[in-house]
Amino acid sequence: MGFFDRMKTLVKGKANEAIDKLEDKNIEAIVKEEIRKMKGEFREAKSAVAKSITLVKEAETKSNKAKEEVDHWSTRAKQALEAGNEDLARKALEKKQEAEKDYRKYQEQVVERRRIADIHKAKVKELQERIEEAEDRQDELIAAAESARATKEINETMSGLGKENASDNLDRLEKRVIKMEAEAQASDELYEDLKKDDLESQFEELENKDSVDDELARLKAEMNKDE
Amino acid sequence: MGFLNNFFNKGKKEGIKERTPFNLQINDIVDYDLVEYQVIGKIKYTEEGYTWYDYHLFDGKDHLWLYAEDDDEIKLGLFQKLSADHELYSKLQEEIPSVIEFNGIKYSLTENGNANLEVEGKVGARDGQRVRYWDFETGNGNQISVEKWGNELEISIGEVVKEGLLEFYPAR
Repeated sequence: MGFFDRMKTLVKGKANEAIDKLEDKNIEAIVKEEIRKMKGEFREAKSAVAKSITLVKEAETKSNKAKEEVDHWSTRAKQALEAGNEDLARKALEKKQEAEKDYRKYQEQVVERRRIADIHKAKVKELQERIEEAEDRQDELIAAAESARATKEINETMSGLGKENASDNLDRLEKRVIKMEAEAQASDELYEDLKKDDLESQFEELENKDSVDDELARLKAEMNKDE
Repeated sequence: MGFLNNFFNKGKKEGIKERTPFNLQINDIVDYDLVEYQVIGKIKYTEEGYTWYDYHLFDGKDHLWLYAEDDDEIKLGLFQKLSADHELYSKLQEEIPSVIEFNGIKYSLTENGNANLEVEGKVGARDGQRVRYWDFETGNGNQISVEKWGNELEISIGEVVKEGLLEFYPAR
């Protein structure tokens, strides 16, 4: 997994954790909001059903009209034959067959669209049942969530996990005092060392000074001897 | 994620409004007792601040009218216009009595008045038109509605609608 993938996973994990915490705190609002959303979806689904039923009605209207045409040309063909006009009867039958073709086509549409509309209606019914169930369980869900949250808080306090408690604070203070004492001791030692260093350097300086004075005296003595 | 969707959708306005017998719209579907009707017209009646509705329903074959009134309790009825050649038209032409006999059953006058109309879709009436009306009922909820449009009478026979058997599917 590359660096960016790991970063993404990490950020996502943190975000989800934060959202989970927020959801835990607002469980009642969240449950109610979810039900409100389901009702919105329910109305959308009902509107889709209205559309599919309208399509059925349109196909039914076309089918009924085609059926009327079939009956019309059938009657005309009979009338033409009765009048001994076979050519006219033939033309009427051609029209009747065209209308029959349309009628069959629209009938197929009616069947197919009805099948789809029924599926949509069944889904709406299912959604309605889910909403009713969620509404029935609303109080139960909120109570269960609150109870779980209280249990979690108690467990965290008891086990010392999660939030800091009073005992944690004392431990932390004690450690801090020990650390301060150690730091104080360390600074004493350092001061002693520093003091010691200072004396030694003065002695060294004195020693250095003595050696210069000695050499000067020696030089003077030699020069006097030469004179 | 659910929460973020909730958060961002909070300010958005509601999409489709839930339908009741008092806010049906043209092209909505009304499913009653296993028959689906399309709303093809709507009349809103008002009389002295009081309001009720008639919806023109069509199932592809029959035309019906769904009546909806909220008078302390919701009253719903499904009406079918009586054929113009029915003898009741000639009986009521001169005067509207307080009791009507139809198919051997007696209907008593319960309400009458004048109402103003607001119309939408196919209703066979004009916006702003006024109508005179008489409502008759039997003891078991069967109803007769008589309306006078100018000089023309319109008689409809109705039955009480069970609200639980009604289902509305909203068009957009």
